[in-house]
Amino acid sequence: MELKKLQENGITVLKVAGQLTSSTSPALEKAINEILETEKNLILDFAELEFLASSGIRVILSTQKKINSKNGALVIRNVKKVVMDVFEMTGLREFLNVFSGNRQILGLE
Amino acid sequence: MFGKKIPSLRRIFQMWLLLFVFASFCITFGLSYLFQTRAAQNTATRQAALHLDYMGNQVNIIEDDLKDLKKDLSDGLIEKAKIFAVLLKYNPSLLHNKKFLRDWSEDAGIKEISIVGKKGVVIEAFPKEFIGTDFNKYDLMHPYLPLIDKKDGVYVEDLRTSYNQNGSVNSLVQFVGVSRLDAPGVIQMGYSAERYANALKTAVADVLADDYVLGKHGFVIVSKDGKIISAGRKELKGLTLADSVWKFVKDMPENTLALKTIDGLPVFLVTRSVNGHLLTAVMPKSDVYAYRNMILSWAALVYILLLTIVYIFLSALLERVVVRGIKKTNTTLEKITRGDLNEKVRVRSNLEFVSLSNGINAMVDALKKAIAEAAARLDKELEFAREIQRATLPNVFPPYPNRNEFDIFASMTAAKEVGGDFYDFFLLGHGGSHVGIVIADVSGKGIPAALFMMSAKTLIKNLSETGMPPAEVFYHANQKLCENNEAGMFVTAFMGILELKTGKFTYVNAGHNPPLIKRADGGFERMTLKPGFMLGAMDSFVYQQEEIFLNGGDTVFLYTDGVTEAQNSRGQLFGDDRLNDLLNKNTDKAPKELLTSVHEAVAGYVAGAEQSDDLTMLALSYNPKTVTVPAEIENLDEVMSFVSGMLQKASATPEVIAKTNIVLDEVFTNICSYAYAPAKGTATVRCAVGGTPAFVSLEFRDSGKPFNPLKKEDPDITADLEDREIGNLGIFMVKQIMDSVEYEYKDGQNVLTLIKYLETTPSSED
Repeated sequence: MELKKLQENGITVLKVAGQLTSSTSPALEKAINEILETEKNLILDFAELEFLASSGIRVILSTQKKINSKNGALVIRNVKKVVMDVFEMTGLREFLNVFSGNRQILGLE
Repeated sequence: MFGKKIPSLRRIFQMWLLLFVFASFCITFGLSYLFQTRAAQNTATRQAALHLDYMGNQVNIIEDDLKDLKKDLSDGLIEKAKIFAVLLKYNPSLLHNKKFLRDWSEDAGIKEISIVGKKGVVIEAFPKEFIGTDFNKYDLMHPYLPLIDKKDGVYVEDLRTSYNQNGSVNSLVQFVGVSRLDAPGVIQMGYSAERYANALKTAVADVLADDYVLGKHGFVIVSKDGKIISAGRKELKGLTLADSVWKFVKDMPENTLALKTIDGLPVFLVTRSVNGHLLTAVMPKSDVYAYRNMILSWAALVYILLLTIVYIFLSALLERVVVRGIKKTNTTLEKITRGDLNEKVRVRSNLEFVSLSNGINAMVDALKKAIAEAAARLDKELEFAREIQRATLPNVFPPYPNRNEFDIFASMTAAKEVGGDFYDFFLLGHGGSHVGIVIADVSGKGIPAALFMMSAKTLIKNLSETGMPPAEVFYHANQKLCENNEAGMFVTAFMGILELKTGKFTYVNAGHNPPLIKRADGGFERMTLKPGFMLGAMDSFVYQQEEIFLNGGDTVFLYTDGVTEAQNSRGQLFGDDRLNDLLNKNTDKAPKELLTSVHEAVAGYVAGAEQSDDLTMLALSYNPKTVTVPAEIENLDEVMSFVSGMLQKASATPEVIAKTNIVLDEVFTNICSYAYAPAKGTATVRCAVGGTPAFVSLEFRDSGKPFNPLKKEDPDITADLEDREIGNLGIFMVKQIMDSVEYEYKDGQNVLTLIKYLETTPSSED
């Protein structure tokens, strides 16, 4: 799994490529935690994420919780069908800002 | 040896025969010559004798005639003398009647009358000059004296030449004497023997030999009293013998053939005395030998002709009986020498050749037997070597029955001569994590190749078992093989090590023909290899290895050139193309069946022609169906790539693969976290893809605590984030994704079986 951090319009974007498995999730969590030390908004770009397992979901959930407590926003974009299916399957789609496309986030402070 | 040629039998025989024939000729001809010469001489002698007989007769006749004539003459004279004596007796007065004496003499044709008294003195004579002659004084007259006192005495003188009182020679005269009847005394009468003299003159003896021809050129010489009176050569007539070249004639033994050279001409002579004549037959040598020469010439001709015929005949006979037989024997021997030991010598024309033929054939048979025995011995040794070779190659199949993630089959069919091909395979690494495969071809044949092969095989295996990568294995093996390689042997080799968990195949080549590799969905293709030098040829060669990844269903086919260079009876090769095509017709076959197909195809192609090289093949197919890993999270990738590989082979969509991976993650992580903790253990994932419709089935086994993950309650997915239980999400997802989930605890193992149908058509995007 590869992580790439970049900035877009003042917001940190974390591109995740590869697979989010039990073995790779910890690395993601660590990277996100680093970002959240200074940020409250985060965009996760899953354009090159093949799939994620429950460990990955766990990380996202805890991330969402942390951002909620900071009143920030978490956007997950460019999600592949598989990943989207997982979110749907687990009923998390409604609770997360998950987009399959690269839509501009509107009204984000 | 400089030009000393050994002559042929025929030549030697001919030479000796020629010598013999020549000697025969010489002897025969020589004897003929002697015989003929003797015969010629005898003939000449006889001929001469005949002629001399004739001549002698003639001479005798002539002499007899002359004697008769002489007798006649003398008889006549005696008569006359007797008549005169009677006259005187009855007319003693006539004694001194000179007229009477004269007339009587004329009438009687008498030349002289002398009347001798008792004292031996002529008392009356006609002619008168003889009166007074004293007979006592002349020796010639002495024989008359005894007549004086007789009355019947007669004396006949030999013919002689008369001479006068004064001693001069007169003519031939005949004198006789008779006793006087009137008184003691003698009446001597003589007359000129004219008739005799004339007769003598006309004596044929004078011309006897003149025209007489003896043989062709021979002649006769008649000589009397040392004078040649007649001869076939006119010039000789009248010669005094003693003054001529013929003077030796009188000293010659009579009636014997003698050879003399007269005036340069060799002549044969025979002489004979007949009646006071010396007859000499003269025959030129050329005459005497004429017949002989002719005979000899003809004889020589006939002899030469005859001997030539004999010579030719014997030569041909030798050729036919002996030389031909020998040549035929030699021809057969040549064939035998050239290698055809089944040829038999068959010359049966005579006992000796039969014996020779039999002897040679027996010898060849003995030789064949010895060769066969030696060959059999050698064959036994080769068989023994071959057995050793065969025994050292792993030949138990399947070699690892409890390992089904790969399938190996190999075979080596040796050619008649023990060759040096070999294959090898062995497990390497902890728990057999790797499998090594080797194929090699040693240069040469026979026992040296077999021994070299054993060295190479052992080296490669031992070095591999130390954990060296293929390139290093070959480097060190090469070094060792180059050492003490005085025979200059070398071996081409290919080896590869397959890491079974990942399918990583690392390989190196040392001059061997590249293996063929079939990818799961494709056909067999030749692998492209980095070049490498054969082992044992050049030391310190650094080999370069390469690596590829095998996926489930891939097959690697190793072989030696005995396969592609198998020849049919026309010498055509099986070839790379044919091998390629054959393998591609059998892509779905497992290694054992694949090799069988190749064997059958090659056997069919070769169709009975002799196998010239070892047929060695090894096929490895990679069919990882299960993967067993320690139940540690770091092995998750391996499990995932294992399953992904199989799914890809089955043309599963990326979505299916991703979902399967999620499932793998969930289950595996569970096992890692709970099955053995705090101890350690392994988890085995068996993956099968197949069926209609296609599905993938995953079977998870672990020997940890009995735990059924399905027993967990599904989480409330409607609960909001705050309330969300993360814990059971994993299993929940598994249940959602897989079409079927089953659990059982069996034989001390947790067995979780999951099935998902593959959607080979992509589902609609959302």
